[in-house]
Amino acid sequence: MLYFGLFLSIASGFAFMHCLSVKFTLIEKVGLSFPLGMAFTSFLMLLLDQIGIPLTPTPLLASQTLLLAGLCLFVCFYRKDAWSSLRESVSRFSLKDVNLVWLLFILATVYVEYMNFSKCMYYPPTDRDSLSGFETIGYIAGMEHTFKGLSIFDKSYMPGIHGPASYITYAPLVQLCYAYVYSLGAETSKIIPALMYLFFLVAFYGAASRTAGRTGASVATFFMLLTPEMLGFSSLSMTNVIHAVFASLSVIYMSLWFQTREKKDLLLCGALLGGNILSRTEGIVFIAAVLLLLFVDTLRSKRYWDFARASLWALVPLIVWKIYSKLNGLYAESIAITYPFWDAEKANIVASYMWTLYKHTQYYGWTFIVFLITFLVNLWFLIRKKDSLYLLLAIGLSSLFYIIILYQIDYKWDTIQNVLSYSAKRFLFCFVPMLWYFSLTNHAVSAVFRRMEGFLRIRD
Amino acid sequence: MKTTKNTGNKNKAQVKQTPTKQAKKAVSSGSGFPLWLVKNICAVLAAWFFLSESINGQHGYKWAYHILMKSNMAIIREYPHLTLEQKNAMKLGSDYAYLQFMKNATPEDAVILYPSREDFFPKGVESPFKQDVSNKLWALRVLYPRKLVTPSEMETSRYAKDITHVAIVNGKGYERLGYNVKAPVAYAVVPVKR
Repeated sequence: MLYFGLFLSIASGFAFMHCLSVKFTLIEKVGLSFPLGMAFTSFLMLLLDQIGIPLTPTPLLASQTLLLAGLCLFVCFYRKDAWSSLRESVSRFSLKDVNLVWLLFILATVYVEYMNFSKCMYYPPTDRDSLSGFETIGYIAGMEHTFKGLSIFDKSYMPGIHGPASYITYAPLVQLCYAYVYSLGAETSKIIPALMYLFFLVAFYGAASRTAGRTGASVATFFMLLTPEMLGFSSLSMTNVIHAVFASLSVIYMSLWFQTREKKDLLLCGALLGGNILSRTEGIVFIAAVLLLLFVDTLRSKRYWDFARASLWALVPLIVWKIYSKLNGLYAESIAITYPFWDAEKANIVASYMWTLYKHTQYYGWTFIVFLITFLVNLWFLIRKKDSLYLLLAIGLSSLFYIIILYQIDYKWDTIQNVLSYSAKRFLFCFVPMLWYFSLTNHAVSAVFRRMEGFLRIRD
Repeated sequence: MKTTKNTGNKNKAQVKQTPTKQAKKAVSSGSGFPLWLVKNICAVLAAWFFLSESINGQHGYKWAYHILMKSNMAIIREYPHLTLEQKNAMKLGSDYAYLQFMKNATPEDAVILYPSREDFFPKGVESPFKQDVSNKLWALRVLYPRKLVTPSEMETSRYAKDITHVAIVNGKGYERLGYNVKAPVAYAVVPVKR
């Protein structure tokens, strides 16, 4: 039953990719099928729970099947070339287009991910933040077949439930995904983070290879995968890496939209932003940054309908979650300072901790160093041709918004030093794939990789 | 050959190029080794050197590859058939052993008076617990569907009146029972009714 449930989610995500467009590459469609499928699953669970249908296996599988049937019908009626495009994608692959360097990095990626996947599936969830949050909430939701009516959300049982930074207000995607697999008979929730990271690697490779070719994409995917702290957290049941999947891919597809102006990339960017906000509340920084850039662009291009559609995909999950929380009393004492203020000491602490993190090669490997070098190398193209400008602006703006949020938080449940030392390092996971994507796809570096691919191309 | 099928200007150009191409091919494959393969082998050797230098030279990557991945794989290969309980015990140590003991000793509908943080981690005494066992939600992951009430919740919890068991840790908690225990032990879960 568990595998059937996962299959339905993956198939829904795959069908949704076809609904957006059949022009995505097969690798993109496969890579994004699981993250999008699970986002749909959790959204569906929220709706079922709200109308009072218990989250037991039968309604869950029935609703998933209905969703899949609906998406397939849409594909049948409006994407009639879906099947031929799939066949074309498969037949397009040719050994002549690859080379041994590509093969080496693909094998290295497969090997490291094999170890990571095995590790993830072997150990049950044991990290502190999962057991005192997402994992236990998901487990109990799976046992009690509800989310809004959870016994651990009851104040007379958990007196501190509405206190500052309480788990009751955590964005629901990850907990609901865990509830889904527990409802379907899973022993642990680890199948979710394991598959999420695996599919993410495929999706990242697919998106990167569209701009910079296969060889560059394989190199960037390997180094992105090997980012030490992110690799470590990818096999835990925490939300940070899952959030990074949605947030980073949404910014990457925004960048692809500015590059290609193909509507499919814009709509996908919007859908991924929706998944991003359902994964972690601070995902709002990416929605703000991306929608701001899209809005500015829309003012010039006058393509208001495109902007509206992308915004809808991004904001509807947020609005539904907020309404759901309001209706079901899922609230906690606010930890945000909502008025502007100036505290030089606090600003200094935030700035110095963030600077330390950016320089931390033990956590992030070469991510920030390679980014800085490729940024400088590509500076001429950036100034003269505005190459990767929107990607850099999205990274810069969302980083700035993150820092503002860290500054505006009222640290009444923990010290600012603790949050910056142990939590902020995980916030930066979202930026790791974006930075590797920029490092690879900027004009200067991608040209080098393209030339290298031509040089190494297998001849007849 | 492909060129014989082509027509027009393209054909002429290709016919002109053919001797050069053939000459190149002859040079490259003189020893039966095509040029693209030589280039690929050189490039892959350079890439291999770069890859191994990155993994072994950069301290973060070294940790990720050798400690995080390889060491864990060694454990997985050494103990491939551990049960979920054994894996939990391996990672969570005495914290899990204590909760598992409590789980086995109580029925599913038990309401347990759960020790406070001070009971788990008394000041000046080294505690055998290393994890967040005093966190009620953390403990519930193992003890669910049992209900937990902490001493500080006795006034507010809806389950305070229904307590069926008292958890004893570091010898503390007996005072919460309504009777004397003849041979108190450091770790136990005791029914409220004698």
